[in-house]
Amino acid sequence: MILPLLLSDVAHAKGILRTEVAQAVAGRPFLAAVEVRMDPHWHVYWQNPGDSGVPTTVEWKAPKGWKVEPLGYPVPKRFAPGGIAAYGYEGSVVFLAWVTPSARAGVLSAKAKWLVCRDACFPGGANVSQQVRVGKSVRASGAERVQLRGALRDLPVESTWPAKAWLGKKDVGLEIKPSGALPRGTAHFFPLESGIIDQGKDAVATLRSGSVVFKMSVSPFPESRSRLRGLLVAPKGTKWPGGRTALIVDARLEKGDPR
Amino acid sequence: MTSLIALAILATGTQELHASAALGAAAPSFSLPSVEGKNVGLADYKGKFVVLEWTNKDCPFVKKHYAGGSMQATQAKAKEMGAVWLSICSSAPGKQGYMAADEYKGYIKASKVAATSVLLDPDGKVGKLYNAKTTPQIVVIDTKGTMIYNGAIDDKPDPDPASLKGAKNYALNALTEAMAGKEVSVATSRPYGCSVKYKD
Repeated sequence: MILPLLLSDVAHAKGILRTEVAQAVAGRPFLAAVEVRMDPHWHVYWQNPGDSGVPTTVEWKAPKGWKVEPLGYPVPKRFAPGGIAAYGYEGSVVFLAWVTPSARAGVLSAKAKWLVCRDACFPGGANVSQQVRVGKSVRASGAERVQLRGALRDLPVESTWPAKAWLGKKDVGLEIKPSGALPRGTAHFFPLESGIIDQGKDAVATLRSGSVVFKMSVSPFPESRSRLRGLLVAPKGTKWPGGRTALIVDARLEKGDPR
Repeated sequence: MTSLIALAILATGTQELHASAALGAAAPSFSLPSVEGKNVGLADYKGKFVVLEWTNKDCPFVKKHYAGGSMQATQAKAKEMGAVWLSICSSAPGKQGYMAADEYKGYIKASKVAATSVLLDPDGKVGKLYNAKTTPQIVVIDTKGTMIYNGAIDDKPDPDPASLKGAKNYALNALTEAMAGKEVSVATSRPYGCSVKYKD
């Protein structure tokens, strides 16, 4: 059992349930989300929290006969307070899910858990729920629909660009061969799993057509992995061809030094 | 006299910058003041197993391990096995978990901390030397001075005290295996907890 204090949602972050419909139609999926709102300068974490922290999790519950498909984590930011890397969110973040109701109205609920940090950290969470009506026609919830559809359009998607990675004694390399008109500037790489690259150092690469190469250092806490997966994040304020700010890269991790 | 002391500190500082802790390699030497005002370092415990534990009393993950006596029991067990346990606080002055020596002594007494010694690292040099990222984080050094473990305290990265039950303690695991002449089965793991509160 978690102490009641730990689950209090008054401490620097709160959870809110959002649905894009006021009334849903049986069998027709709609977007729902748990929005986590934080006090200024506080953050919660991505699925790979970085060198400290804990991933934020959302557990959905829906009436029998309904279907809930949680979508992935939104694109995080990298923070490095005191030189320790964290991947997470500031301000507000929404964790989306597609919900397909049956013909029967019911209560949609979610349990979110997070660690919220600034200089100090507090475990927290929220239990949120909402009655969802089911009828003959969809009644949209205007502002929420705009918010959730916007978040959906900005979720990372799988990259189709060829990528290879190698793991040397001290260095880790990642080469991506992009196509299309690339934005200008410096791209970032956020690993989906810890234990490969040294997250304490910002993984950056200058964008140029043909080949983008990240040279990184081996993690001080190496774990045995056969793939390097992570987000290829577009330069600040830009998007990749296709309109996303981050693409999911998945490369086989070859043993040996960069060639 | 004062300038001599300053020189000695400078010399140690330079040495530390060159070394860096790596698994399977010699653990870099260090010397830090204990809360009792004594300088303590690896050189004092040659030929012994040494556990380093990074701590910050106000971090919820550290609290999870101390509130129910779990960390203290681990410290006592390690000492019973013949190891030395050094708790290190790398919180900078003004940051969470920082305490001056006298305040720290009060906390040690009240919380029944069972470490061999508690060391203060307010400038974070030793923490950074050992890649200490979180509290709690554990380093285990064998009798030859080789770093045989660096990572999390256990396999339950969760602030919930209920997660202590059935957790695999990596400090005791490394000590047990190494003392039996075996290779340490888990030599590293992702440290979990609060970030170490280094100075900015």
